[in-house]
Amino acid sequence: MDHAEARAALAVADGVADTARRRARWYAAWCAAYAVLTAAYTAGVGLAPGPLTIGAGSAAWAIATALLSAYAVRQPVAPRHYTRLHLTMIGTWAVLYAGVLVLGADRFGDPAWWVPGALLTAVPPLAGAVAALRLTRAAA
Amino acid sequence: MTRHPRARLDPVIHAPVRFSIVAALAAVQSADFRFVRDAVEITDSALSKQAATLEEAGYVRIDKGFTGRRPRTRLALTAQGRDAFDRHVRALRDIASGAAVPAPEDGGGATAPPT
Repeated sequence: MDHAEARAALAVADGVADTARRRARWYAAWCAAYAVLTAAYTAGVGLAPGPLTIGAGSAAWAIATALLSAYAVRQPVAPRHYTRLHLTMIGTWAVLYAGVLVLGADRFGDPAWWVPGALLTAVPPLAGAVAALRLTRAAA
Repeated sequence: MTRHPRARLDPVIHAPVRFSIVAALAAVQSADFRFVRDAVEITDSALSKQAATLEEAGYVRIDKGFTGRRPRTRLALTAQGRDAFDRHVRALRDIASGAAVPAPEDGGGATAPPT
């Protein structure tokens, strides 16, 4: 193998790797969608508590997360470190979401708690989206 | 003693199709058989054969399962495969840059001038 053949092999490898990384970017969009959903659901439940809001909101949340899960399992490529990234994201989100809900139990309807609380629950999925974009960026 | 970096090329990964398969898998955690087939632009049977060779070498893990009722085969690099790919790419880069480096048994050290 000479210099030119080595360069050609590396160029082919870079091209194939870039194709795979691009196809793995779906997880960034998935995380962004999850961030919007969790912020909307948390704000809805916290600011307008009631049987209708909680019932309809919980049903919408269940349908949305089921659709997101179905979308995720159908993706042909998982980004690098996907398992660790996803478990960290979901675990952190669960802790924050439970904290906002438990600590805000006596503050339902108070925007001073529920607006920042809702935004806080969106932080882990947004961080996940940023991490996914970095992991799927083309090699320098 | 200084060896040409071609001596460090991995004989399993060196075949162009297998190198492309491993390059695709090295960029991700795992990928569907069909995605790899399309990315590398080979047939099902060719990918099956090359993936089996890589699996025998311990470089690739092949998981067969179902998504709903649809059979699905996923490919992923093993840690051994990732290490082999990284070493192979380093050797290719050394060849591309014209470098000759001390072989590992020489005790390592600075890169020798191009030959």
